[in-house]
This record gives sequence, structure tokens and C-alpha cells, in this order.
Amino acid sequence: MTAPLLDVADLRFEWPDGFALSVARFALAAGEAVAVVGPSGCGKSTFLHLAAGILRPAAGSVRFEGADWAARSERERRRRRRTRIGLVFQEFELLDHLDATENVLLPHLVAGEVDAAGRARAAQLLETAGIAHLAGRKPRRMSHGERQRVALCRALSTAPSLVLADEPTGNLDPASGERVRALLLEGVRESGGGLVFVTHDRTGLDAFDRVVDAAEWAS
Amino acid sequence: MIGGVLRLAWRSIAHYRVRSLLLVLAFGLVFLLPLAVDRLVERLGDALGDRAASTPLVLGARGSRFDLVLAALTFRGRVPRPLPLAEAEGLRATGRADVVPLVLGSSVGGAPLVGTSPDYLERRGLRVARGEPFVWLGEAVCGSAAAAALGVDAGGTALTDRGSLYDLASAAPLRLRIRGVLAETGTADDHAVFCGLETAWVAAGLAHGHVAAEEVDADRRLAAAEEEGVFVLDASVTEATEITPENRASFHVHGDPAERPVTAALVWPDDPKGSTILRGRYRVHDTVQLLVARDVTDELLGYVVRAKRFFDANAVLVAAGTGLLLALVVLLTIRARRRELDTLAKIGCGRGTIAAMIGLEFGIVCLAGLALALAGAAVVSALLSAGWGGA
Repeated sequence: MTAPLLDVADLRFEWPDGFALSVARFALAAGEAVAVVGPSGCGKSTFLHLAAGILRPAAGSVRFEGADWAARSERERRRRRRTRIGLVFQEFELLDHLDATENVLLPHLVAGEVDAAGRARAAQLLETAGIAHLAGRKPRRMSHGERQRVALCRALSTAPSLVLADEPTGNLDPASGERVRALLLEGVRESGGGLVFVTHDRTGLDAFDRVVDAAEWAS
Repeated sequence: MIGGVLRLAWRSIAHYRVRSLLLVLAFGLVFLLPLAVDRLVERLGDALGDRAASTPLVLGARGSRFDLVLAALTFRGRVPRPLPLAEAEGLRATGRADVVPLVLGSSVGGAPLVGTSPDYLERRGLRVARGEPFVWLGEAVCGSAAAAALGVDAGGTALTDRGSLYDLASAAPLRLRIRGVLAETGTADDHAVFCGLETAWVAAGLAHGHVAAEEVDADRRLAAAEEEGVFVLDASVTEATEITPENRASFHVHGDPAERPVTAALVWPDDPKGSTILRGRYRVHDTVQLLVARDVTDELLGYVVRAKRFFDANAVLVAAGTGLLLALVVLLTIRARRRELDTLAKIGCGRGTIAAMIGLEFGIVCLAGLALALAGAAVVSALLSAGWGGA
């Protein structure tokens, strides 16, 4: 039996304002797409930050690709996050001063690793997302749906083994949301990686392998 | 990694172009003044130093040594009292030095008119690039910059300036015949117009010629009065304003030729011994001083450098204040771009890389400001140094 791609056990995290998150067990296998559903404020985004190794838990463990985040150095955590994890945010979080191609290449740019293969992959991702014509355009001149598709391409640009999407359809109209969801699932399944898709919207959940209810995580 | 970070920094500079431009201008202006003063003092030092080094001694009437040496070297400013020509001739008569007198005070279209002997051109190594050297009364040669400013060339003419528009007693402008234009030397000579001593005295109104009375219409009353055999001529008998081969002989100076005034005399001793003897002779002279040009310019530059220290101290304070303001701008920028920097951190960008990106961004802006200041300082110092005829 192969180890899960992401394995969370007895996780506990507390914010200074008293909010606490408790997750007894969460496991994600490679190639699996899981939707985490719950109302606003139940700790879904906090869970994603813990899963990405951005936050450190007060107790329990978060194992990614077989090793606990806590056992890795800060440098190693950053490197893994940049090369093995793709993050998608509700507010897109694109850099206004970069065009679409540069935003997609951002993980490569900060590492100084932009090469012809990376540029070709970025162009391919934009093509697949149906926004190749926006390659040289800056985010302010794009619609919300277009911006989120660029953000999606950025998350997939390093061919990550795990994609963590935080309410990626939250700011989009139903049609755009559906398209982004489909693109995300298609991209992850093509690469054989895992997907954690956090949402408060229960539409379109049939497309996922599994749905986890996060309503009980908060305390 | 530097390539990617540099690209991110540059993109940010270009995107926030108004902020970047304001910072570049602010830095440029802060650095401009001290750099310009520095370049100017350096140019002044080089120009005056070289000039003084090629002019061993300066003879002139007692008074401000700075005024005398500056006037003799740059043809600018005034000396309080002129030197009788006889003093310069007397020094030459000792046989210990070559003496070249200078008559200053008049100008041609703003360029100083320097009355001197042809020896001056030889002593300074001035070569006539076009035309011929001045020979006759009323002839002149122009320095390269003066010729360009006046718009004249060999064979042309140029009028001397009237001292004051409302001074009816001042000398009428004299039309000079420009015989030649000197090759550029990068010194004060480029900005001057050179003529013979007599021509300079005519321009200053100390010598003059007359239109012959017999050439004036007989119907006009030339003699306004006659007193004890002396005719007082009518005002219609005008001074000649152009010296021609026909009227050249009518020009003359009233008074004792030995007392004709010169502004200063440049002295090239034959040897160090002659220099020492001459300096000793004039050390106790009541009305005349013989100065070592280099000593005077070094003393003058010493004062300039002392004054510059105040500018430097002020520049340090202004730079410190600007540095604090820059720190504030950096902090506010980080705050305004918090989400962007958080995103970079979340996708795996290290704090060092983020700091390098911000640092590069402001470093490029500072360097651009510095480059602007350097270019501005070069332009300002070139313009100002051209103004005082140095460098």
C-alpha cells in the first residue's frame, strides 16, 4: 500500500483570537481530487495553509510526500511549496505589474529558472485555459474569470504533485466557476497529482472523487 | 535567481512609473548640488592651476592680489588701479625676464577685449587656425569660442561694447577688423578677443583719431569758438569709429606715453635666479607688486575648498534626510504591497529573495537618480565654467 500524498493526523491549530481548528484525520492519495466543503469561518483556508506548510500546527502532524512539514527546514519547505505544490486563491493574487505569461511563470521567476521549456509550458497552459490571446495582458485588463484562469495556470506551471485551491470559484459567476473547476480537475488528473478543492458552494461536487465536510473542524 | 528577481524589480519600477520617476528626480536633485559644486571646484582648480603654472609671475599695481591674478589669467573682473606702462617696460629693461603687458576693461559682444603684444600669442602657444595674427591698429584676432559667440570669422568685423548706454562721454564703439581666429585651447583664451595695446586704448577711449577738418563740408561751422589761439571744434567733428589705412595716422594718445595704463603684465623670468631677484625687488615696492601666480591661485582655491566644506556638510545632512525619507517610502511600499509579498511568500519565495527584489527596485531608482545627478553636474559645471572662461 502506497503512502498518501497528503496525510493529516490529530491536527490542532489555534489563532491568537481563540479560533481553533481540529482535524482528526485527512488523507489524500495521488491522483485523487477531494472537495472540502463547509460554511465560512470553519477553518477551510487555515487547513489549506497548514497542508501547504505555510502555518505550523500546535499539535499533530501534516505529512506531505511522506515527510512531516515540521521535520523539514524552512528552506526545504519553501522549495517544496514552490516546486511541488500549486496554490490557487479566491482573490486570484496575481501581480499587477506582470503580464499573464509572467504571472504564470512567477514560481520560476523567483527561483531564476525561466527557460524555454518553462515558457513553452506557460504558453501551453494558457492555450488549454483558452486565454492564449491574453498572454501579454496585465491582470487589471482582464475579467475575474480570466484572472482566475491565469492563477490556475500559475498553480499548474511547475507540474505540482498537489494542488490546493482555496475557494477558487468564490468570486466567479456560475459559468466561469464551472469552467475553472473543470480546468483544475483536468489539469490535476493529467499530471496524476492530488487536488484539495475548498469551497462553501455545493454545486458541481459530483466531479470530485470524494467530498469532506469541514463543518466539524472548528471549535 | 538574480535574473528573475531583476526582471521582477524592473517590471515593478516600470509599472509604478510615476512613483519611480519622482524618486529618481528627488535623488537626482539631492545629489546634483554637491556633485556640481565638486565638479566645478575641480574644474576651477585644474583650469586656474594650469593657467597659473604657465604664468610664473604677474606684475600689477598694489591692491587685491586675487583681483590682479584672476584678471591677468582669466581676463575677468577688475583691478583697483592700473599699472603705468613704464613699470612693465622697466622690468623688461632689467634683461632678466620677458614681459607681456595686458590692457583689459573693454569687451566685444560680451567677450573680453585683451590688448597685448603679439608675444602673448607665442608665449601661450596660441595658433592662428584661420587668417592672420593682428598687426595694425584696429585689427584683432578672436578666440575660438568668442568667434563662435560673435558669429565672426577671419575677414569680418566686430564692434566693441559701449560702457553704458546713458554715458554720453564714454568711448564710441570701435569697429575691429578680425584678422584671424585662434585654434581652440580649452582655456580662457578661447573666450577672448586679442588686439594690440594701442587698439585697446582706442577702444577704452584713451586714444582717438579725428576726421580731418578739411574733409568736412565748408559750409558747416567747425570752429565753435577761438580762445587765445586755441580752436574749440563744433560737436559735428566726430571721433572715428573705425580705423582704416586712411585715418590710421590720425590716431594718437594725449599725455605721457610712459603713464599709459596697463591692467597687468605677465612676466616670464629667464631663470630661477632672475625670478628670485625680481621678486625681491618688488617685495618692498610702494605702488607695484610682483606675484607668483601659482601661490595666489593656490591660496584662492584654499578658500574655495574651505567654503565647499560647508556645502559638503549640508549635502551630508540633506542626504541623511533623504535616506530617512527613502526608508519611509520603502516601509510604506511594503505595507501597500503586503498582499503581493504575502503571495510571493506563499508560493515559496524566500524572505531573502523578496528583500533582494525590493532592494534592487530601490537600488535601481537610486542609481538612476545618481546618474541623473552626475549628468546634471557635468552640464552645470560645463556651463558655469564656460561662463568664467576657464577649463
